[in-house]
Amino acid sequence: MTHKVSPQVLVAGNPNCGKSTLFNALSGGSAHVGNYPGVTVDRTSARMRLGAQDFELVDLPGMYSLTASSPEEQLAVNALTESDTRGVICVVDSTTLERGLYLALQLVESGVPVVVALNMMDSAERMGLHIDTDRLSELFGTPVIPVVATKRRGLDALLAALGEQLESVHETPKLRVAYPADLEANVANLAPVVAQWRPETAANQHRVFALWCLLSLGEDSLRGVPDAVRHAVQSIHEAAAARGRNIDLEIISSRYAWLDEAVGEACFMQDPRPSWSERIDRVLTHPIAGLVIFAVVMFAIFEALFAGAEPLIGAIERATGFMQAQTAAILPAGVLQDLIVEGIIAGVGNVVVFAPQILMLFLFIGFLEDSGYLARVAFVIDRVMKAVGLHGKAFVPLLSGFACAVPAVMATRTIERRRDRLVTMLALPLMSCSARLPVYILVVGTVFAGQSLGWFSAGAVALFSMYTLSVLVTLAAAAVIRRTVLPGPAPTFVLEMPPYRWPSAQILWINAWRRLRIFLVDAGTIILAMTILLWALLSFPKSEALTEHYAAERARVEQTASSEMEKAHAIQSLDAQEAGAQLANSLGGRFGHAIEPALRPIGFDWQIGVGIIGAFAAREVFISTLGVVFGIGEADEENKPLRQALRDARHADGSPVMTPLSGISLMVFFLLACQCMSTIAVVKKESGSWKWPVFLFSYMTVLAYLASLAVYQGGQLLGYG
Amino acid sequence: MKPSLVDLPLGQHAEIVSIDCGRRLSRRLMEMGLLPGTRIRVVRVAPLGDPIEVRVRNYSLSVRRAEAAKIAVNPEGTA
Repeated sequence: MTHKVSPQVLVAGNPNCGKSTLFNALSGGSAHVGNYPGVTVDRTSARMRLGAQDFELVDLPGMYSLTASSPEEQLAVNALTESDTRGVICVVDSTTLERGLYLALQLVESGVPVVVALNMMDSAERMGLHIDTDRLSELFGTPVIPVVATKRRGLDALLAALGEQLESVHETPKLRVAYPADLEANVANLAPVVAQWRPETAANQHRVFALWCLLSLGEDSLRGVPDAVRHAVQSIHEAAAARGRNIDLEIISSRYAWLDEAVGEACFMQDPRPSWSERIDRVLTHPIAGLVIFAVVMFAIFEALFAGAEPLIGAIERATGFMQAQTAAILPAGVLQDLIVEGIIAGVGNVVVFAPQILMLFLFIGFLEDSGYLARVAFVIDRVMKAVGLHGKAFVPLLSGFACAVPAVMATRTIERRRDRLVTMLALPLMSCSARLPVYILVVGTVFAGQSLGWFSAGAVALFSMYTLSVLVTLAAAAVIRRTVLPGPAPTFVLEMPPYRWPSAQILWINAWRRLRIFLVDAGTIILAMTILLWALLSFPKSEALTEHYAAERARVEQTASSEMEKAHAIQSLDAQEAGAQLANSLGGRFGHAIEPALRPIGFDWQIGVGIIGAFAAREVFISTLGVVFGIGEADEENKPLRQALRDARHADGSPVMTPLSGISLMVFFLLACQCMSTIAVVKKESGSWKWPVFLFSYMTVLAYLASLAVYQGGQLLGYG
Repeated sequence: MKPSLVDLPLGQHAEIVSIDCGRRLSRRLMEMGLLPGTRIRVVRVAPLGDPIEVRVRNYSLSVRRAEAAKIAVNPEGTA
């Protein structure tokens, strides 16, 4: 070896071919997850040693072909042409042989050493399909090894073949597809142009690369392709079209013709048996039973996220509170204590609190995906999603948004195209998540207590309206974003419906745990930083005058109070009042005052303004912040003194702040505004840039303000409030 | 006018004649093995009427009606 690079072996294969199972079986589950440069696609890799060879095993995303039209698809071809790529394991699902071998054929054509792993041989045999792997191996000119990844069968033979491939000197591939003469002429013309682009690649690969360019270029968003190559490809396509030729068809059908012949020679079907997958599908996609099962499964996920995660979330919150209390008891009072207790521990708590829902959602999604049902979910509900320009696969993330936008945004990963993913991720934070509920309950309990509308309590009607509104606004936002910010062709829906399979618990756990770890590290860092920033904003500057004033008040109480109980009570009340006064004096409090003129038209005052600023940490923090603002101390949504304080709050002119109208305005604001730094953090992580979270925050805030303005001003015009 | 995939009765085998779904989607379908001459049949229709599920080369694929209408077929047993 002339220079020390880290050699890599790629694992490629169709979606649902068992590629990740094989990768995990080979690597023993000890994978490292990173990112490919420039795209938000996970790069899963593991260090391996085979004989004297050290290398990195890289799990490529699932693909049907090397052909690319987006940077996400391009990364496979980039990885393949990197100088440190030593070989490829191509995983093929034996039950869909031709389609899987189409990718293997391209890999072999490209000249890298390939080992084909024929996976799920047991399923193929059950179907009655017999495959002569030796014959296939001869035809492809590369080892073809039967394996059953789930049962770890054939792995030794696979590794032995790989080791041999890595050590042998590689010659020009034996496999040669017979392309039409016209096409060969086009390729011969294009090869020199490609050679100028990639002078470092071997001469026999220029031909293969020219084929790739002919198939991939045009209507693409690929990076780093020189104009000379683009122009050459375009003129070849135009000239061919003028003569009634279709270059794409010529290339692909020539390859499949070769494949059909090879498969015909090496395989035969013996008394084919109908698969039980087919029988399951008769029920699961049945017009009535299918919809009922769909509703039940979706409800189960929803219930688990909403209610099932609750005890764990409560436990994490109590643990955080306990840590805060213990730390506060150990450290001397002061800025350092506050920073650690209110900033760092609270921030870590804010991150970890998402863990139960993220784990649950990804275990669920993993189960749905690996079992094959997720494709059926998309199949059943696509009609509805299509109406707003979304993909059928957007349904599960949207539904999860009712529980929490953070895991829901992460769940958009199941959507293949980046544009479709972005639209879903930018609309779903409008779903009314569980953190909004305490705010609704506080408001409803404050302004609608005991009132009714006909048969229903006014509060129930208000709550129901919020949830309905959130669904409508989410769908409308998706439709608008799709047409304006992210225009482009409507998402196409070409989705493989894989056979039903029983997922491996180990793989589900490995994947869910991996997702959680990535969240804790990447999004967690941002959330922690924002928590500390927000703490500082609501804590500084400290007013010496206020401290002295309250110290004096406390001293006075010490002397005048008649009983111990009265004293304790008065001091507690003074502490709460001081906290409120200090908060009002902080930067955040002053900001709340400063924006009051903007808040008045939507029915809020500066105190609610401070609550909204505090609620950026998480919506439910609105309530505890209000508790501090009103000098009540610790408060939750059922807190009577807080409700009373809100009812008693007056504007400067003496009119009450909280009326039914301003209450609705406040609920609408919380429904629509992006009052959640964790959502911002996770959208940054999942979209790969700050551009999208900034856009998300801006559009939701503007939307929330305008909607609240319309509610409050409209309501006043109509004589309410 | 050639019949398309959406015109096929459930379960009826047919041979693909041409695919005209725009370059990107046509290419995708072809690379998944849907080529002129390939045998295909419609397995079922989604509960809400769209998309449809087809069976081709021993696997199942779902496509929307709008796209299926652009895949011309020749039903077996006809000329």
